[in-house]
This record gives sequence, structure tokens and C-alpha cells, in this order.
Amino acid sequence: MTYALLGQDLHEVADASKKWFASQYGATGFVCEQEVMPDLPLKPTWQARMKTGYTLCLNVQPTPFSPTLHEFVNKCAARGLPIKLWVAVGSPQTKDTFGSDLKQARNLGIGVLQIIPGVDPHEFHRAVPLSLFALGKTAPAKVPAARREAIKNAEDTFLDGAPDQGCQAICQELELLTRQFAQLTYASGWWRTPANSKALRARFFTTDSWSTMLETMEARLDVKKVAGKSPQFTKQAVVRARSFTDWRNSVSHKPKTVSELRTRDARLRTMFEATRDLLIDWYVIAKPLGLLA
Amino acid sequence: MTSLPRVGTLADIPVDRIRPNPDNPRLTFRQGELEELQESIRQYGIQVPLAVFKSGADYVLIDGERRWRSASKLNLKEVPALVQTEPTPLSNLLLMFNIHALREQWDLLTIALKLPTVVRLLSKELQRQPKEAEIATKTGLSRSVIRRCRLLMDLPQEHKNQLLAELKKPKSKQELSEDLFIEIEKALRTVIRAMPDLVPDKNKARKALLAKYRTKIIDNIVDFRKVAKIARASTLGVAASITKEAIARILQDPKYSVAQAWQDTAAEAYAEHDIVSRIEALLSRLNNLEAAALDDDTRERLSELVAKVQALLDSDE
Repeated sequence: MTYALLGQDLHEVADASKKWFASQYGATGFVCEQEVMPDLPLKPTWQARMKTGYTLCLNVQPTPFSPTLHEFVNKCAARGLPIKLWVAVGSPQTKDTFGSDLKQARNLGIGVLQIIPGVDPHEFHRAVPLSLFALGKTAPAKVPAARREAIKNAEDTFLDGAPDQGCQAICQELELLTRQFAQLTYASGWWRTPANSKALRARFFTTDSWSTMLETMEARLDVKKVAGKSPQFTKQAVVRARSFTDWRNSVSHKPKTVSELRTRDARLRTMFEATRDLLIDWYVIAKPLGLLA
Repeated sequence: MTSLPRVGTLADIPVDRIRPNPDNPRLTFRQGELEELQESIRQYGIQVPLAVFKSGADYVLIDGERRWRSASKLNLKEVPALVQTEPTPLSNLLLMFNIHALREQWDLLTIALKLPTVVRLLSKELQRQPKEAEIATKTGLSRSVIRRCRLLMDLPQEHKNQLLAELKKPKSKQELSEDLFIEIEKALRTVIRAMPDLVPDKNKARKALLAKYRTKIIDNIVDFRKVAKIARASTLGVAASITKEAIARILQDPKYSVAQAWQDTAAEAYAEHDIVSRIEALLSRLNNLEAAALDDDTRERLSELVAKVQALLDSDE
């Protein structure tokens, strides 16, 4: 018999959910009811390797959430373990708590799959890699309404298991805003023009190297003139943005081992948070200049 | 007398060296119940030690499979357990019956499926067939539970499998129950006794009743008791031809309900029988009363009764 711990009423759900992850996610190397690590407080019903390198932990239980999962998530997230935790449930047994359990599971980054005989499996929401889950969430109030969707998309992409693409998206937001800022301040005549230099063309601000553009802006921008219109602006904001121009190098190679994946996720988490925090500072700078409409 | 194992030592046992007892009569564990225990253990630990016996390098559970499953699920490394000496096969079974059947609400079918083994081992020990009372004493089960178990034991394998499949579901999702089969068996037993020629094939009759329950023509398992009452209604003066026809229709006409058959045959006779029984009981009580013992209240109600009875008799004339 495969299951030594799981109650018989959920054996069919466990079999079907294993098939689902094998066929839909290409999960392989399934092991049943084994510990993930000696000090983690749960033996998930199934463990498997996912194509993305993450470990799938799939727990079959009657409800989408239980306090045991909370403890498991906390321990995994605190240690940045590259695990995706899913729960597979059957038909709801207690309808009064199903909705609130689903919400708690989603808040903790736990994916929930429902298996009902004769009906296609239904994913309520997907799991967030617990190595990424510790990401500090963006406070919507700090993001201008016009930019919220882009930031939310970047964060969702990051948490959905593609942290490199999430970082790319948030960095692109920073790049876009600093380019708009540069174009506006140049057009306003707040840049110093060295002797014998030619006027900068539009493409310098839109498509030329971001790094070069920031470097030039740092050298020529008249901080006092800008600060007159946007009091929060300091040259430091440009210097900090420059440090993100080479972010691609740090995430360009794919992790080959679980350990590399764990390290990469931790680095990307830091990078996403730092970029997002800088972007929020830039929103404050850009607002008086009318760049956020 | 069966030799019971000595009480041994209390020790912390590695969870991964404990094995479930293959003779545990309990076959089904519902996850919802396990989750509740798991949460309790997560918060407070195992408060009641398991009972195990040593078997080679491992330990076999005598008591505490749910605790063991929950502890293992929580990835606990050790659990407290009372280590006992290895019992004989009969003691092993009787221990589990006594520990579990008295403390937990076991599914009746799981007991029924193990009972023949208990009877076989007891017969071997006693050198004769054990009496029902002896089985009750040894297992800790009441005699009525043993009789109900026997009805389930005698079911064809097909229906036992059906029931087992049902028991794996959460209680709220179960469509067929042990009580349903027990009521059907009791009804059929009475019908066969009263009208043997109507049930040439018990299996077929059982399936007919089951189908009626599934299609909700019979929507209450207590209705099967009325089938038995109809079969016995000739003792109350209902014509045997009428009751036979009704029972035959119940077994053959998929749309004919027990409630309808009851109205068509025995309802009136049983209502009358009920009134007569009550009158007899009242008369018996009145015969033992002395006039001096009657208080005003009782006198008033008796006068009311006399007036009502007289009015009924007068209107009949």
C-alpha cells in the first residue's frame, strides 16, 4: 500500500493529484510520506522535483489550510528553502470554513488544487516558492495609481516562480522612469552643456545605453535646479539607479543545484526589494515634475 | 484462560521503527479525524502513551495507530510507548477489541470482519464453539452489537465491499450505512420466516430493497421495520393474502413504496392494536388502584375518559 499515514477517504485525491503534477508540471521522482528535512514539521503526502528546480511538496488533506502548514511555511521561508507547497483537497466537507481556509492558504503562498471525481481538477491559486515568499510586499499606497498594475505584475511574476523575470520587470520600471526624468530635465535646460559638445538626440534618452545615460545625467545635471522643482531629489538617487544597470549579469546563469537555486532566490529577493524601494523614492521625485500621469 | 502480556516499561520509541498491527480490526481511518488529532499533538504532544510489542528490531502497535500516524505525519522522531511482551494471536485481537471497541466508536463492519477470527481462535482455545455471552465477555462488546455484527458478516462479499468503500468516505458523504443493511437483513429475515415462498432468492430481494433505497422510493431506513410488520400483520387479523400481495409488490414493483404498502395493509390494524394495548395497560393499572388513593385531579381525568368512551360507544350504536 502506498499511503501509510493518509486516511483512506483521500487516497483517490492523492493518486489523482500526483498524476496532475506529473502531467501538468512535469514533476518527477515522486516519493510518498517522507520527511523533507529532519527538522521540518510535516511529511507531505508527495514530494517531487519540478522542472524549474523547485521541490514540490504536495499535502493531501480535507481542508485547504491547517495550522501545521503555517508552521511548515514559516520554517521553510525563514531558511529560504526552494520549495513549492501545494495542498490537494477533495469536495469541501465543511463549506462554512472552506473560503477562509483558501484565503489563509493564499496568504501563505500555498497553492490549492481541488480534485472531485468526474470533474477536471481545479487550481484555486498556485504556490509561491517559499524561498521567495519572504519578499516584503509592496504597499499599494506608495505606488502611484497609474503604475500600480505594472508593479503588481512584476511582483506576481516574481512570486510565481520566475524571480529573474520579476526583477527584470521592476528594473524596467525604474529604467523607464529615470529615462523620462532625464528627457524632461534635459528639455527644461537643467543639464550643464560642456563646451564644444553637441546637443543630445532623443534616442539618447529612449534607446541608447541606460548606463551611459545615467552616467551622463549624473555628470551634467544641475541638482539645484531640479531640487527647486522636486525638493526630494538628490544626486544620490541617480547614483543608486546606476548600481542596478548591471543587474542582468547577476541572474544570467540558471541555477544547477538546489543550493544554487536557494542562493539565487535569496539574492533576487534582495534585488527586487531594493529596486522597488528605489523606485518608490523615484516616484516621490517624479511626482512634482508631472511624470506620473 | 488466555494469557495476557505483562505490563512492561514506558519508553520513547523511534517513530520510524513502529509498524501498524496487521490484525487491527479497524480498517478505515478518515483524514478529518486524523487532522484533529494531529493538531492536538502538534500543540500539546502525545499525552497518552502508545502500546506496542517488540517484534524483531521493530515495534508493532497494540494501541495508538491514529497517534502514530499523526506523530509520523508531524515528523516527530520519538513517541512515548508502553512496551509489552508479544501477545498470542488471540490475546492480540482481544486486547485491541477491549482497548478500542470500548473507547472509540469503531465502524461496525470492521468489528464484524474480525469477529470470525476471534470466534475461530476462541473455539480452538475452548475446544468448542463459544457462546454469544462468552464472546461478549472476551471482546467487551455487548450481545446486541455481536448480533448486529453477525448480520453484516452474513452479507454477500459484494455488499461488504460496497460498505467498505462507503466507510472510506467522510461520514457526511456516505450513502449506504451499516444500519441500512442491518435493517434490510432484519426485515428479510422476518419476511422469509413468515412467507418463505415469497423470497426464493434472498440476494435478489436484498438488491430490490437496496435499489428502492437508492432511488428514494424508500427514503428512511426505519421503513424497513414496517416491511417486517406487514409480514407479521396476519397475527393482527389482516388477511394473509393482502399482506402477501403487498410484500410481493414491495419486492417486485420498483415504484411501490413501503409507506404505501403500510397504508394498504397494516396501518389500521397496528393503530387499533396500539390502542388496545394501551387500554389493556391502563386497565391493568386501574385494577391495582383503590378508590381512596385517587386524588381530585385523577378523578377529574377519569371522568373525562369515561365521558369520551361513552360518547364513542354511543355514536357507534
